[in-house]
Amino acid sequence: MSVIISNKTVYMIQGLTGKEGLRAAEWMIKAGAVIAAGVTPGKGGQEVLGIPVYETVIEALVQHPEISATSVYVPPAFVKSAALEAISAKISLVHIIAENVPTLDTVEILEKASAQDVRVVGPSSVGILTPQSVVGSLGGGSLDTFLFPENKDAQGIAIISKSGGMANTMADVCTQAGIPQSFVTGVGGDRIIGTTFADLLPDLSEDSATAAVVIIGEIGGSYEEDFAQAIVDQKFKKPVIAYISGIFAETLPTGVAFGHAGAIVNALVGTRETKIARLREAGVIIADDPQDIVKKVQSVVQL
Amino acid sequence: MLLTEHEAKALLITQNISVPASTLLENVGRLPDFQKMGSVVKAQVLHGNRALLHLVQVTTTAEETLSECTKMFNATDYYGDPIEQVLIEEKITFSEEVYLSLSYDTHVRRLVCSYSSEGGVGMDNRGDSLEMVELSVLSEPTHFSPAPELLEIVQKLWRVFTQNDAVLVEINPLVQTRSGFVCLDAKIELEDAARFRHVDWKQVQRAAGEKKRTKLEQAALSISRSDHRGVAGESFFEFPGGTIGILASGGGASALVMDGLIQSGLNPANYTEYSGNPTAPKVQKLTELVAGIEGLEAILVVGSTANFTDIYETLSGVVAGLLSSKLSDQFPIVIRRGGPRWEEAFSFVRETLPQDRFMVSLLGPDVPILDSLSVLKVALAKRAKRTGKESH
Repeated sequence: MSVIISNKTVYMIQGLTGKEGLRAAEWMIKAGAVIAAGVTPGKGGQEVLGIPVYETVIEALVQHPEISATSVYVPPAFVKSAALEAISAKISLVHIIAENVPTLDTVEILEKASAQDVRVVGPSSVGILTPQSVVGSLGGGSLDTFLFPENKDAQGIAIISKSGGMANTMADVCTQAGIPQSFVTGVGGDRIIGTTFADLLPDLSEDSATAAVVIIGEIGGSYEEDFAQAIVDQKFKKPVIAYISGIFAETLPTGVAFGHAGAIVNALVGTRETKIARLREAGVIIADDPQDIVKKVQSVVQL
Repeated sequence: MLLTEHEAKALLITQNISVPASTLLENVGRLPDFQKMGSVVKAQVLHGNRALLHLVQVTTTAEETLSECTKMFNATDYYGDPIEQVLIEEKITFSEEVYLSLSYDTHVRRLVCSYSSEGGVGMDNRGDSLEMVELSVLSEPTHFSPAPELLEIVQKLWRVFTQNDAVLVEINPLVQTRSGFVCLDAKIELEDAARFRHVDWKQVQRAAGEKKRTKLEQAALSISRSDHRGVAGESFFEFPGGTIGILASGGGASALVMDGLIQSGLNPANYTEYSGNPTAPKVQKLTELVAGIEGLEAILVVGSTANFTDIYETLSGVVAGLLSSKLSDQFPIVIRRGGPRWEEAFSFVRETLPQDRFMVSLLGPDVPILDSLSVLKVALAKRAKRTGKESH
């Protein structure tokens, strides 16, 4: 069992020849991912890290039909065209790392992805990491941050954070405390994202390697509230622990985005208080900080 | 960035949405002819609730209009900033007022049009009356079931929204007059992230929120946008009287740290953040800006365990910024970082920052982020003991 990605996932990197694309590819290879191709318009025919580079997604797919996921490493202005190219080619998973993608582009990507039954993770998603595979830059180049369940029958926790840095930090804190991880991701802090906390719930419910779920949320939007509702609607049985920041952000002038584009201060919706209340109603355990998350996880599951 | 009412209406006019005749004043000068019939005098500020703050006034004579204009130019907005523009509008007689807006909804993750037949003042308390219709960004809406007679206006708003990379286009109220629908007030927010395809955006330096940027906040923004590598100062808030300079990294970790600071009773002088692997020169400039804040007692450089931000590169920038600052006398610096090349970075910091100028505490990824605040408190206490000055 694995959530979203597995040891069968074969990747393509769009923007492989760029600085960040190259760093991501090096890391993914080090972590055991299979990258079949890269795509950079104008650089087709090159080879980078032993990976062939193509002009277009279609060219790459013709040569490597086994590709099942793409990671988009292009600047924000080019994300839409790159992602739409992958979506029209029906690559089933499109991961987008770039921050500052205009929301109009994101929503167009999501509308078209939905029509083609393509899953989008991001924008501003640092990546996904499971014991079986990795996509993106999650991990800071070191697997030492993570502790995986000992064998295929053992369990760990799933960590889902809007913030990529906090996903990595939370994994690190859990690793130091001896808590293994079955799934770690930063879903992105943008206003509109392709995969939300709630979207992951069915996968996490089915994933036998996941014993409990940790989410790290923040003010703005409705993703935490939607997650709370999904827990109730789907009768999600596994323990869920959440940390929601925002005490300081709510002291800022209305309309300000704090840290992430989606963390917008608004007196009426998406406040820390309403999120925590909804999550508590759904049976979620609220933690005060990352260290408290560890304590709360240890109090509900033995791993 | 938010637009003023006048700027918002200028965008609506491009799609032939009717607005009242108006004149924009930047000082009390000659009044427009239509004011003889009475006017609506409106301060052009970025926040709401103008009427409650007496920043919208209805007048009946020229003298009254002149008097209200004078008062407004001598008043300040909600945040204490001077009022620089006043809009004088023709008074409109109408029969009904509705609310109409386009925005992105995070629940459905689509563009939505919100409508209420009960528009006007107090919409904040009438959220339940809103009907929401999902729209596609791919094609213009072809029907609007809550109020079919408004379809043409919804289509025009859709064009304003999509052509201008807006995140909010709101008309409240939209009123029915004998000659058709007229927009009496409008609020538009454009998305900063889309500025690369809107070279004409004059307001690009404007703060994202309702409050104007201070000089320091403006300077930080310019640093952040000096190149395309990551961000460094894109988000910057100045808190007069604060004593802790903040250089945070990562949206999530900075939220955690700032919450912790507030709960610990520490007093930040600023908030700013760098992330996305910015260059050392950019981080240096941001550090210089923070280090230059008057009255600092310590600087906290704090972040999550980075995924791909090169800690050596960014801390090199911090070090260069500190060295070129005026800080001295074992000034406390607390650094908590982890991620690519953090150990190399820490060695560099140790070797480069002179101990007589800086008292540096280096905390790696094995130290919980919030523990940096306890270390900071100890550093402040040490400094207070040495200098004989009480820490604030």
